[in-house]
Amino acid sequence: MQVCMETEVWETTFNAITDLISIHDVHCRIVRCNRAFLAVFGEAVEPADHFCFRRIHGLDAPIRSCPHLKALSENKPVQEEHYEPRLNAWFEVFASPLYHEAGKAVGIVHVMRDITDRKKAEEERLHREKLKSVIETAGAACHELNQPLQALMGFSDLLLQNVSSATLSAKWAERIRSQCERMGEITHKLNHITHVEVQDYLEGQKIVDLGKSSFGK
Amino acid sequence: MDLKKVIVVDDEPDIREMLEALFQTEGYQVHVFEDGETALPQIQMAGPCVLFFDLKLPSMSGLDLCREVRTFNSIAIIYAMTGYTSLFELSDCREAGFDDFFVKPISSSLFLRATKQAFEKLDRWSKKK
Repeated sequence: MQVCMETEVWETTFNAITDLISIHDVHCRIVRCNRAFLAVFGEAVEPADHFCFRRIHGLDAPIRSCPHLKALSENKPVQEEHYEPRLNAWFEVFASPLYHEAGKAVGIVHVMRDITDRKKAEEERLHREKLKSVIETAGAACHELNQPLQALMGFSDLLLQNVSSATLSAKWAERIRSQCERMGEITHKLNHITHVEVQDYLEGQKIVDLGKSSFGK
Repeated sequence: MDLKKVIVVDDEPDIREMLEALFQTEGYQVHVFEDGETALPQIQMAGPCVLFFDLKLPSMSGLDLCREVRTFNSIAIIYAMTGYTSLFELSDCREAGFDDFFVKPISSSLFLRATKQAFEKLDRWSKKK
């Protein structure tokens, strides 16, 4: 009677936990799981569904970084973060070996905690920091470049006023002037970066796509 | 108005030299200064004029210089020049008393057009007196 009550209390406790808990044998078979696990992964329908890689990941073999196998091979608890594409969710996974009285591992306790919201918040924070850094760098570059550019543009205008329009000098001064305008358009974009979009550069490098990242002309 | 005076305050020597040449070519009387402290006493004596202040100046900023000028000269037309703008900075410009702002690089034609319009405005005000 006492044993029965204890089992019931234990099961109630097990099911009250919102983390997805399952107990696996050494052959990756799920021998027990709590209610939260069932709510996400459902009951086993086919015999193959008893394997954790099938039930959790929908695969025919364990994933490369399987915490279950790692915990067994290292003979100690492991903790990993894992993205599950089928659920579009991030999990913090704890796998702790279960030992036989003789000290031999007979399985593992597998706990999955949904950390998707935390991951999203982290990603958003990183994105905000990246954007802030890009805007600050762009602002500094914009300020510094516009000073010599202002002088160049003004002097090329003065030069154009002082040379005969049909000469090569006038043509070249006009070229300098138009390049100044082009650079001005670039610094204008630097001044108006609102988000970060990248484009491919050389050999897999990526650079900020100024045209797409700013609302400048 | 007989004397059309333009005052430029910018810490970049090349920009001062360029603007001095540009405004002189158009017949304006030009005074250029590298900082606000040097410029202030001259501005106090200048009367109605058109002023171009770079916002980022050593020690006294362009904003502070404009605020100072507005304490004794409410009629002058004062333009801000800046190499980089933020919305925050632009609202500060209005509060400081600038009439308008220009983001560098500013074309010579824009400098001259703004100056011409500023003097036309000053002329209208002086005729109303």
